[in-house]
Amino acid sequence: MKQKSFLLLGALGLLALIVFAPSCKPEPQPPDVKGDLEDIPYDPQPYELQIPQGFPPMDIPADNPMTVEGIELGRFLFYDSLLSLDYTVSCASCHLQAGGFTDNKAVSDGVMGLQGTRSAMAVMNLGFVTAGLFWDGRAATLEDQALQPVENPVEMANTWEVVEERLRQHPDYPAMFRKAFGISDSKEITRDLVVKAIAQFERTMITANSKFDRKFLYNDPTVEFTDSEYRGFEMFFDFPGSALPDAQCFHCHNAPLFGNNDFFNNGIEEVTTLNDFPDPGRGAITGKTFDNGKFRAPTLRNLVFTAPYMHDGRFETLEEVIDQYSDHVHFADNLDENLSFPLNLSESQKQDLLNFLYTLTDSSIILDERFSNPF
Amino acid sequence: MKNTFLFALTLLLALGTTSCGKEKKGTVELNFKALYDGSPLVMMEPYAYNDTLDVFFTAFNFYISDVSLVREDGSEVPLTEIDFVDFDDMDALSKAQEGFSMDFSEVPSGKYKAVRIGIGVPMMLNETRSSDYPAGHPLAKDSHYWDAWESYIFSMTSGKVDANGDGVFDDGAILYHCGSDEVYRSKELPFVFELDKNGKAVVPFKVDVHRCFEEGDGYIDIIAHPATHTIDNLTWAMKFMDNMIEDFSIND
Repeated sequence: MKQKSFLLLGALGLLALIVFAPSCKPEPQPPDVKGDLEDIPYDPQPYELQIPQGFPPMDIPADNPMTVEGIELGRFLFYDSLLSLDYTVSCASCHLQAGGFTDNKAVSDGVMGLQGTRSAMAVMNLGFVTAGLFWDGRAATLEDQALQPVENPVEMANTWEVVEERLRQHPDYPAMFRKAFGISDSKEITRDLVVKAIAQFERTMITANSKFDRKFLYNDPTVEFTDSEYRGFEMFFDFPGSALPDAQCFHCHNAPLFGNNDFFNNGIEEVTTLNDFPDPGRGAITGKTFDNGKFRAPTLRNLVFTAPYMHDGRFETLEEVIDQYSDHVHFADNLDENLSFPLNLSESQKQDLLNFLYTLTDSSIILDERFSNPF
Repeated sequence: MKNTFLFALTLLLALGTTSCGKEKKGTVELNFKALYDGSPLVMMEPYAYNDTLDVFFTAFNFYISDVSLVREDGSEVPLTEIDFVDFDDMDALSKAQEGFSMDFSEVPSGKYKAVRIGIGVPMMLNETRSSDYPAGHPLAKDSHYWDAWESYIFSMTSGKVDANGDGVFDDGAILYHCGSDEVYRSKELPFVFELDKNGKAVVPFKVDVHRCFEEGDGYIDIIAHPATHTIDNLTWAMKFMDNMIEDFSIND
């Protein structure tokens, strides 16, 4: 009896559902939200980076694969002063193509005539740097590096919130971000995508077409070194059996990049203690006194375009640089040991070294349309 | 009762099946300690080199290669083809006491009687160059590849010298950067241990840097021979590496 009652109740309930369900008012649905960029096709073309013969593999972050569209966007952003507070400074203001992607100033100018404390580093072959960018290595990746100048008070002096808003409101950039990264709406433009695009562009800025490269990396039989260049080459790399002095260069400026991933006190500063360096450099990042006065060993490629030299641009000419290393290295406990013994190069040896350094010149990069101002 | 028996049998069979083909494995830690006269070597700390010289070190590092464990039956379990041991950051006693370690998991458990190890980069690998490797690979270190030698720097020992006792280490430098096939060294070190399943065994290597400079009854004249920067004269590089492999031991 009890079982029959349950069955009856169940049947009635089911009937009620069938009868009344269609008359129930549907829940109001939110309007179909469509991003303002969804009508723009998203079909990114993968970019295959050509690594020059003899160069190391480039470490490309898995979350930032290179695409034609991403690189193009990065190029526009690199040259756009929209990133700075007063629309006066772009990345390219301190990294001019004609200057080998430096600004040829001892220290760089920021917005409103403000000056930094260090010389702009050359933006070439930076995709191969693996142990920290900037003179002090404080940025782990190109993406991290590109984040910093926007909010640096003596560089672009802006905020990322302002930059993001400017880009979202821009007539062209939202579509470019869509094509590069597949965003659906302008609101999705973020600093993360900005620096990814700039990093993609910078990874393409490879220089590897110098006389040195053609002779030693590509074995071009038509390229001949002069006797002087060859003597400089022997001193630079300390060739076995050479009667010439070891100029100790390659320890920090090894081929093929002619820089390396370490930080050194190269003896340009006269200090009494390790706390006396006017710019602590790497020490400010690691917190170690022994790292004070150490800086990244930058590339020596295209030196002919990138004067002045050193982290503070103290040397106007390469002759001064070679004189410094030959005869005026200052001792400190953390001086790189390779520089502990005076080189005492003769004037002709200095000239030979200089002539070899000139063989690291690749003029093609300062003329390459792919890296030029797109505006 | 019958069902319970069948269930137990199935479980036993299942357990037996899943354990089949699964080797018992554990982890082996290679721990390296650098010493100076028997005490942990602390970078930038002054040490007496001989009766007249004091020194401090800023770098001590080296490649290890073809490291394997030798089983009781003489067969070998390879651990690594190439790796890099680096004491450069050991600038405090606590770090120096801890030493430099690297772990190898998935090592078959069992009884072992010895460890084989090479110091340096074996000939085949030494024919490659740093630019052949992606970032993070031990051989990608451009600071440890010597173009003109077409060789890696197998071991790098750098430091400074105080010769006049004024406490300033500006009287010389130590640049024992040893490379080329001729200075590659290897040895087998007896070390009896048992690695349990899911267990961990530590192989505690040690090497005394001061002993690496031994020469005759004293030490290499580092004022006269401060550097091993010539591949055409490997006398002091070979002496250093001979001493190093001789002193290289396991702290039983």
